[in-house]
Amino acid sequence: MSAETFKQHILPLRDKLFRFALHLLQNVQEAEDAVQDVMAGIWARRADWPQWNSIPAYCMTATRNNCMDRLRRRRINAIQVETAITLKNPDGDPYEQVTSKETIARIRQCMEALPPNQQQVVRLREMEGFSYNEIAQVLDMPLDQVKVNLHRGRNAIKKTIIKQEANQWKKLQ
Amino acid sequence: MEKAAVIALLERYWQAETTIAEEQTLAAYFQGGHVDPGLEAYRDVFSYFHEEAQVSAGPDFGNRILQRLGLPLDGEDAGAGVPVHGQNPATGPDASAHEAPVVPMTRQPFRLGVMGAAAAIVLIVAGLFLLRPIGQPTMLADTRVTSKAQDTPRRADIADTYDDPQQALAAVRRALLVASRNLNQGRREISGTSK
Repeated sequence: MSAETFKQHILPLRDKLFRFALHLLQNVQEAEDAVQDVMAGIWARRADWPQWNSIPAYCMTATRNNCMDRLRRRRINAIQVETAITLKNPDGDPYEQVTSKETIARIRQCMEALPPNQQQVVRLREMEGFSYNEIAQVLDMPLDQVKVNLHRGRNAIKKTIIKQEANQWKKLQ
Repeated sequence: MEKAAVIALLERYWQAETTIAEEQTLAAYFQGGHVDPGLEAYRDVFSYFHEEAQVSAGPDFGNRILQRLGLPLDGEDAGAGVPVHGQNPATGPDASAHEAPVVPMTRQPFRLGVMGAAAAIVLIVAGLFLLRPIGQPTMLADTRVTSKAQDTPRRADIADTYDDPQQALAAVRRALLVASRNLNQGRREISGTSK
């Protein structure tokens, strides 16, 4: 029964956990190791599963803690990891595709320039679809701070978009 | 979806006041094919988040976790995202996701074969001149070999075969011409296959 529950409810979270671990560790192999460690820990605590309010939030919290331990051990020396982003914009003409890639690159730069709390809140919300409460639980952050960080992170991205748009107009003129 | 409704939703989105369902609605709108031109700039925001959310550890990651825990493996691992690094069996677990373009290899052995044939032709032609049996006249050599050379084949092979230097030069030119023709024939065959 536990094995089936694990396969149905916890194992499918592996990609979410991996992405978050990769964001924190900036190393593919270490991110995989972290997720495997977390999964092993969660499996070992299977007797406690019924007491958990949100399994995704618990798994993500465990992943974050594991990554923080790893970062502390290696004293944070993040390595840039390129993740392939292929735009799926079949309607766009070549010019649009190029400018779109430029904009996406700017958004990525903007994300990387955000303070860590804002980055993590934005990632958990936008990419993993976590609720405010779950984010607060994962990041051990008051609910209002989650909203403030999300608001600031999104607005930084919005400014990037507007600036990029203005630059593209300048190029065209 | 009406433009005004999208703008209103976007405004609440930037203020971090939208629900997850509303954000999913926005994402669906911007990933759809009919985005209002005035809102086109925001499409990239949602494209970025969507693409980032596709990153995964690879298709066999789930089975590796199960294996570590000693649980029975799934027949089909459901990792559906874009692997950050290659778990493609053909490339091995450490291969990069950014693979080099695959260059067709089928023509290469054929081209090598043609080049080998051309090289063989050149060698054979060269052999006719350089490695012929001692004492025998070359194919192109004039029959006007000195009588001294016929009497003493080894010396004739070494000694001059022509009394007149102009005749000797003409014979060398003819020999080189034949070698050149054969070489060009080989090159034409090679260039024909590569088209």
